Amino acid sequence: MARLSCFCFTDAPGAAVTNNRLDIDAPLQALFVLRMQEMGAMPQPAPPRAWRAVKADRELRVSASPDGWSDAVFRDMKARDIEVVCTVPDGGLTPLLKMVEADRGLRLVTLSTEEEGIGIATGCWLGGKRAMIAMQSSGVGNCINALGLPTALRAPCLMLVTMRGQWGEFNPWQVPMGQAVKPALEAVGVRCFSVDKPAEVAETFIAAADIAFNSRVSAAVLISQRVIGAKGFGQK
Amino acid sequence: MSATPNKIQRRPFMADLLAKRGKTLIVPGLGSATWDCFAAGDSPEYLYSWGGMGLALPTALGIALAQPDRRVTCVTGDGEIMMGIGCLAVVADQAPNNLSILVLDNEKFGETGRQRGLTSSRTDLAAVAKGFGIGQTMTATEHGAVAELARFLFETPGPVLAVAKIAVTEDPWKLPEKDGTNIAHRFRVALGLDRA
Repeated sequence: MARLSCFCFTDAPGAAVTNNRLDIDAPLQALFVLRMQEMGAMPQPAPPRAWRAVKADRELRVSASPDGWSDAVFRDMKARDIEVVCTVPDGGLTPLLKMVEADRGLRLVTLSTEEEGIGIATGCWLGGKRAMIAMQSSGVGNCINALGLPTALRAPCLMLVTMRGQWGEFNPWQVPMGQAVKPALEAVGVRCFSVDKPAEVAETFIAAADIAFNSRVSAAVLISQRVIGAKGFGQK
Repeated sequence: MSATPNKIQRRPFMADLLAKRGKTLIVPGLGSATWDCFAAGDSPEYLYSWGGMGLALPTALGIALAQPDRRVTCVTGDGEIMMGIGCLAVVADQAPNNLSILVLDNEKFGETGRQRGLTSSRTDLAAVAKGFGIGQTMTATEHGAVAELARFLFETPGPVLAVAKIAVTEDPWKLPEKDGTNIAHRFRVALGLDRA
């Protein structure tokens, strides 16, 4: 119980996912605390609003997608009023992009190259809407100069990147950019949030979206190839 | 293409054109397009650019998607439109009826020393735009076309693209606000999105 006392529930927006956790078992601990309190075995903490946020977080973690994350991220996108999703597609993004395309409240913008998405997302914010860009890691290289635009305008920029060139990569042509994604993004001032477990993708997405839109900075969620699975190219 | 005469004087041409824009939001590309707009008279509805070559059109597209009730015109140069030419396919695909594009084509990289540009030999931007699926295009070669061009850019259902064959001219420097935070803020204030 001493470890459980490390949790800090706040009333701040996004507290559900940004509560101060000290180790990777935190989600399970949070669920345990919730259960104990529902049973009356632990006192209810104040304020109640933060409590609801944690419960919402628990629901968001439950994904019915075969990949274990896409529908949770989709719900979080909607919950955060993202209306435009720009993409050069990637295999790992397929379930998410299908949901976006099927939703009448969302606009899928297919790009010819990823940096267009940086301009479109910046333009959307200038016009009062929230957008994001979803891409494969190779596309990050195409975005580097363009990322100066949202920084110069102090506009939010949210990127969802499915990684190649790392966990079990088959294709050597993917490796150089795959290795360079994080240092290249950080070199142009983008905050990177790496995630390598399906169950943690949604909360990582929420954290990145909140810092991007609330603090008006550029943020990227880097979903490991460990989550997506390495492309097999029909080989064993 | 080089067979077309480039004789339009950009500064008076842009001043006469912008005088007819009404409430159209203007997204000029970096360099001369931005200087031309500022020289014609400052406005918070001009989203000046000092960098990010190739991004004027994607930015204008984003604004057009977010503000469907406002007309948006991207004013760019031949160098910048060529750098992000694939975006014409994105514009055609999204088909925002409130977006228009004006390419000020002097067939040169004017800002960096007037080196020869890619539209100086065989590439025809209006034909390229049609091929990408931009329904209507217009090419202006005379200052006298400005009234027709204004109707085309500010009233014709978009997306549409016009090319103005402008001369290489020596124009005085006219440098607007360069702090992007201020440029974006006053633009959003003009749209009622931020407090002044």
